[in-house]
Amino acid sequence: MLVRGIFYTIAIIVSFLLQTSVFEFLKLADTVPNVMISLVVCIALMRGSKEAVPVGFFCGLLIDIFYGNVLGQYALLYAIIGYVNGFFHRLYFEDDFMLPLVVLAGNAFVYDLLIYFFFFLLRGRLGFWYFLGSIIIPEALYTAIVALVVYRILLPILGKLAEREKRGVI
Amino acid sequence: MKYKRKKELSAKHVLSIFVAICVLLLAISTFAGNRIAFISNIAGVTIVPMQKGINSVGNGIVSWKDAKEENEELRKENEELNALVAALKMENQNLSQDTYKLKRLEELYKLDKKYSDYKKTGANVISKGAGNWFDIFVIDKGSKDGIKKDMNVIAGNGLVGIVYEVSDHYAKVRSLINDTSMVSAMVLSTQDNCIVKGSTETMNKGYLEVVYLNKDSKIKKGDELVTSNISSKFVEGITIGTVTKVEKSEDGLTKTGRIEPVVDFQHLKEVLVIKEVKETVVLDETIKE
Repeated sequence: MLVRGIFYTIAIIVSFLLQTSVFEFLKLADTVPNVMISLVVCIALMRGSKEAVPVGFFCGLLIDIFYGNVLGQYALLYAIIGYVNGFFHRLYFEDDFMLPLVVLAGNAFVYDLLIYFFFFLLRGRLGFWYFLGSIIIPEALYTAIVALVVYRILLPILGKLAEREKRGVI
Repeated sequence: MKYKRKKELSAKHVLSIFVAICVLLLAISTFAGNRIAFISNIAGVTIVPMQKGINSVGNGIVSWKDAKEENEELRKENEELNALVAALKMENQNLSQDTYKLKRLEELYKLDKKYSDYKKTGANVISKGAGNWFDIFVIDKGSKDGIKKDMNVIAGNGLVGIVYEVSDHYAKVRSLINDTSMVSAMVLSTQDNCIVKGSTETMNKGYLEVVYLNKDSKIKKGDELVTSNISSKFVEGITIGTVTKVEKSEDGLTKTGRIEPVVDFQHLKEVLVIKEVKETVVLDETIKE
């Protein structure tokens, strides 16, 4: 458990740094992929809600601390994302690539729609098609691609961790 | 999964615990924000140094790459500049004739207190907002360096934004082009007041909207927009941008326009913070700046 906790902490911090670094390693066509959401969803798929909820919470908390006006709003959102995606854990097989891809793109899409709805539409910014075309869809697609990379990196590490833990228990 | 782990905590329980923590945090930070300021200070001590490191590495790589490309560019630029010098010499002559006029006008407008008089401090941008929606960034100076809330941030010679939250070693800045930003401005030549509206949508097309201009205003293309004297948070006379378009608004009661900001918001690395907080009484709470 301890090793796993340390690993998650490092993963959260690294993805936060990647996503917010000023000079933008990952920028493509004016879009930065949502690395943190990829991390949360990947863990939800591979390990289920129980681990994704805390990881999501701390991801969101980090965003809250640095960019939010109040603590807790993004933490709540990310924790719920972790929980909901945990349901896909039952459908998940290690060799299946389609499910993660679809789930990840879908998540980025829904997440951006929510942000548009709560932070923009409610303030009377009506240019939905503009936001859809220039922010929401590019971010969803790009996030899905980056998420696959995150997924490929996490897969062997989490596998080994699980193995070690099993041995430790026995 | 449910059956297997029923003896331990189930996923639902984990979720409800964390949701409870979130709600608690929301409540505390809404009603007693100061009490949990230490959390952001802890984050500042741990994360900020990492961000600084990653930025210096990244900037190193970028500048090494840029140096090569720059050489060629510079040669071309040199030729162009030489041509420009000749043209500018002419212009300079004309301008010096205008100086006398300008002095008189400045006295008239009492605008001689330009922002060169304000005390400033430099800061590096170390991190930008997560996601593509808001233009928020973090600078590497905080309250220990004398930064206070509501201090104005400039870069080059134009307004960038305003500090909206301060920790010990870092501060958050909301930029002028942030979707929630509204800046009270005035036209330098005619002294008309107006509001510059931040917007993700229009900024991607290269301009910002100016609203609530008097319909009789004689504002025209090319005029300079500066922060106004009646702004509650921005010190007077900082350049915002130049007017590129003016038109009557749909209801015919006011004029609206477009401006092009002087600051390049795509490539912000170093900014200056004006160490002066405007002290005013807020008369109208509804206008948020």
